[in-house]
Amino acid sequence: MKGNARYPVLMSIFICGLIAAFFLSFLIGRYPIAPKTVTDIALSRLLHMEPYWESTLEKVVLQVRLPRILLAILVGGSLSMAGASYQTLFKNPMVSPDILGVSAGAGFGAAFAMLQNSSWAKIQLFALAGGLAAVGLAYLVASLSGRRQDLTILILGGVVTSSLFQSLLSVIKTLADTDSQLPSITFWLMGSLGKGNNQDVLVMLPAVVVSISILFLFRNRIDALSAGEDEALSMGVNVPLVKLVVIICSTLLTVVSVSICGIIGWVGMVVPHIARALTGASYGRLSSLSFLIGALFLLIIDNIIRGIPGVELPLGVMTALIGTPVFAVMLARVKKGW
Amino acid sequence: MIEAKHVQFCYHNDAPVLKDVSFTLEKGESLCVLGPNGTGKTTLFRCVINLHKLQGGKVLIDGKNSASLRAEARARLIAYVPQASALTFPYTVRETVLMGRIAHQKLGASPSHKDKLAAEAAMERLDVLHMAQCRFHELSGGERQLVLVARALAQQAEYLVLDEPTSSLDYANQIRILQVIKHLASDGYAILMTSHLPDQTFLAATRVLMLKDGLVFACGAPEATVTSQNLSALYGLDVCVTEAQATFAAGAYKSKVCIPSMP
Repeated sequence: MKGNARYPVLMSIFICGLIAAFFLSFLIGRYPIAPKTVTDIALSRLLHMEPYWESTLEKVVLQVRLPRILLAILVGGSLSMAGASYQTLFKNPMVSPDILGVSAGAGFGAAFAMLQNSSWAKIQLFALAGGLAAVGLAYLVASLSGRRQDLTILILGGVVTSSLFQSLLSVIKTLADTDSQLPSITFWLMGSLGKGNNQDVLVMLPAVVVSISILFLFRNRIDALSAGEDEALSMGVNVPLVKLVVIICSTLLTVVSVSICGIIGWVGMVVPHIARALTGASYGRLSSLSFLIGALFLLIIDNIIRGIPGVELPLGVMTALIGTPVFAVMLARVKKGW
Repeated sequence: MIEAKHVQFCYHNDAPVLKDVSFTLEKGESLCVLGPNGTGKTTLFRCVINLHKLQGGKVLIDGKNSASLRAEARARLIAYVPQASALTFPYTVRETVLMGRIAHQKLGASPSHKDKLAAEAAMERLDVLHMAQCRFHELSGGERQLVLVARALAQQAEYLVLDEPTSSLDYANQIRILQVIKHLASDGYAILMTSHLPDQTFLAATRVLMLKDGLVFACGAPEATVTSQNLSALYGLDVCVTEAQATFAAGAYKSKVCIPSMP
């Protein structure tokens, strides 16, 4: 069966999988909570119900597990969709969402805030600002060449900006207090969903919904752009506009993810490949399936992290550690299917 | 009608590529541009479809200035078939041809029934419908070229610009593409193409434009323009254009052929 015929089946499978994983994820964690209690706690927010559970449990379910699960879904989906968008735009399967320097910029911003022992909210804000500043700078560097619209120059701008912010980050690491600040910087750079709260979900959700909606509107034009800019233009695509839309929306998806949970590599580059192998290159299908696979994948990885007692392993490390063998197996299987 | 009037273009200020090129192209015609490498054939095409900003002169498509048209409006008038298209990702032939429908689609809309019909008709016409589900990047060069022409037809523009449509194709595929071009012209499309083989002008062109050193060297019907004298001067090589006759099952057939001097 070819990718386009398979698409509705795949979407149904992954939507059901994601819904199932969403509910099952509430059962995982340090406090064992019975499924019925979880359902009752959730229902008690809607219906009037006498609580028969401890108030700690309610807090665990609604203020610890709920935001963490939702963030895993949003971050995994956003990074994967941003990766799919950039890969299609740059006609390059090796591209990841931080191609324009978002991660390096956000890393520098967060570390800068940590150096001043700032609050969690301020760290996020600095990460966001750093990420956006890096992409802005990449765009500016590309503009200096007078060929701002040239995608190769833009990638070059991103590479240059990334290395600049990585150097600045190293400077901060050197200055940081080795007992408290340096470890927290290091852990932030490896990514974690542990500090996410409901506030973060409320901030992230609208940004993700808006970006995804806009990208979806432009899906056919993004496909045409992957045939090359000249051809796209001759097919009637407003090339500068579509490029800007993809860059802004994908940057937004990446920067909100990174500023909330640190740097999580691997997902944004590899998940689109899995989705493409399953459903083909067409951007509308590719991006929606990438979102679902990325969301499900990150949720499962985070559940494994939460399920291991005693330690909290960094998310960015676990994605690659578990993802690589999964990807290798999938590649081998999918190849047979073709 | 396409009217190119005194088109001027240069990549570097000191070396103009097109100094003063004018031509017209009407529906039902196929105009083949001949000229040595680097004379600006591709550049001229890119100027016509506004991928380059002209430095002088103008290009009118149905009386409208090509440069001031919006991309969508221009794409509904004029379609472009590149020498080769490199799709990195595994798009199917159907998806590739449907890309040609973008100028007819509103932002956010999925391909409509009409879009799908237009794409199918275009694929049918070029005999690539049976490979609609194949991946474009897995096709042979000749098949790809046919699909790219189908994409241009799906665009439903009446002016088609084909940049070296037969380069990198084997002999049979070259003839196939030329047949397609000839039929399209007789169906009322206006074809603007380039070729490195002057023989092809006798097979598929109604008019020939010879470009040399950024100027129009000669222009007119193939029989009158593609002569021994003109070709020899154009390419700096002794060429003899002579008439030949061939007899096939379908009947006798006369055409001119070019024979280069090979001492």
